[in-house]
Amino acid sequence: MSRSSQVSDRDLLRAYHEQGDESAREELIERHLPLVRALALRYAGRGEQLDDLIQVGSIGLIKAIDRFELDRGVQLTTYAIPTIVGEIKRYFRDRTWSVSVPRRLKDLNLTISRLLEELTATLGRSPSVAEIAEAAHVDEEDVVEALESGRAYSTVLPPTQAREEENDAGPDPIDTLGSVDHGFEVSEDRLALASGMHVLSKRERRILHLRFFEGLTQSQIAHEIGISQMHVSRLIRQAIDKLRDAIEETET
Amino acid sequence: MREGTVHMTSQDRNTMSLRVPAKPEYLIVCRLALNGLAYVAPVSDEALSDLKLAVTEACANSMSHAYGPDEGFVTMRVAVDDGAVAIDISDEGTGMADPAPSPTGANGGLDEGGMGLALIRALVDELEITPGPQGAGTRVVFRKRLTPTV
Repeated sequence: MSRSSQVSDRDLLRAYHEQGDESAREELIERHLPLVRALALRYAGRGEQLDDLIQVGSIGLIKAIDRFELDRGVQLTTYAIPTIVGEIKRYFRDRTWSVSVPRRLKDLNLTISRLLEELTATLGRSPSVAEIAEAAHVDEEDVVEALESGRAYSTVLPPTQAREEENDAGPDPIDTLGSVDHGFEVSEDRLALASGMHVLSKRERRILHLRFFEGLTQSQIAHEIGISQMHVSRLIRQAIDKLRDAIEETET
Repeated sequence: MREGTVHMTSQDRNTMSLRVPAKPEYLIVCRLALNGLAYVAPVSDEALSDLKLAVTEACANSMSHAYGPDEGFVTMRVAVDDGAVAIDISDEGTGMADPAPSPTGANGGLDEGGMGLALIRALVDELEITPGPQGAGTRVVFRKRLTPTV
């Protein structure tokens, strides 16, 4: 159904713009969808579906075809690329750069936090960026960006060497909290938090760990530990108070 | 086989220079280097994303075509001045395939290289393509203003 590729874009544009030939417009759209796809691919992998990007990109393509001025001596592709990219970027601006990117970074940070613990436990050493990326099913670049943004590490335990093999599950991540990893800057907050950790009982540490590092709800923790949700709630508040007191004490 | 090396120098206060092997796996090094821009200049997420994509396209040209099977390097220089970021990417390879679009060809009438350049043009404010520094290879220089003009 598509015309011979002998017919140039310009001929088709002329047929559409001068004779109102809708099938020429269809043909132009179809012919340039690979271009839309190639451009959309460059923006894929940022939490948006490729199909959605192709769709908004196609809107850009259609706008470019409709607004093309025959007497301007440019190629349709040259003219269309900024329009297609413009639509894709507008889509990101509306949905992503304002909302989803911080959200996505946040989600990724949570994932990385969890993986850092898991991998540190299973490997008995700090995982590499490649290992984290593979486990998180994201690009290494995403991992580095998340780490570099510093946000990941505000809630993250330092990857650290296995210090003792006292149980098969590897080092208790909380126990590794105070040790300084050489690969990363340690935030003052984390140092302060680590120095306060010793005031907590083993059970309190475990509950805080489940709540803030594993992201379990109070009910889930209650189930896990075998106490009531009310009790969990009370213990969390109590543990946080203890930590705060201990940190304030070290600061004054 | 020789291991690749990344060499980085700071030529003056506002310029960073990065020389990496012309291999696709070093592209990420160039992209990540741009992240640091956010610390020295008011680069928005969107502008940073545009610059990274432009760098990706420019490096992709050099890394996949410039040297053929030979080993070579790609140099990226990034300068921040006057509320703009200027990026200069060059190789000393055999030069780019003719970037002129074919009139009706497949792939929307552009080969990958041609599309890359057209894409860079869409993302930055100024673009210049010249032969490489020693007359060989290709040099792609572009500049993006940090405050959008209305």
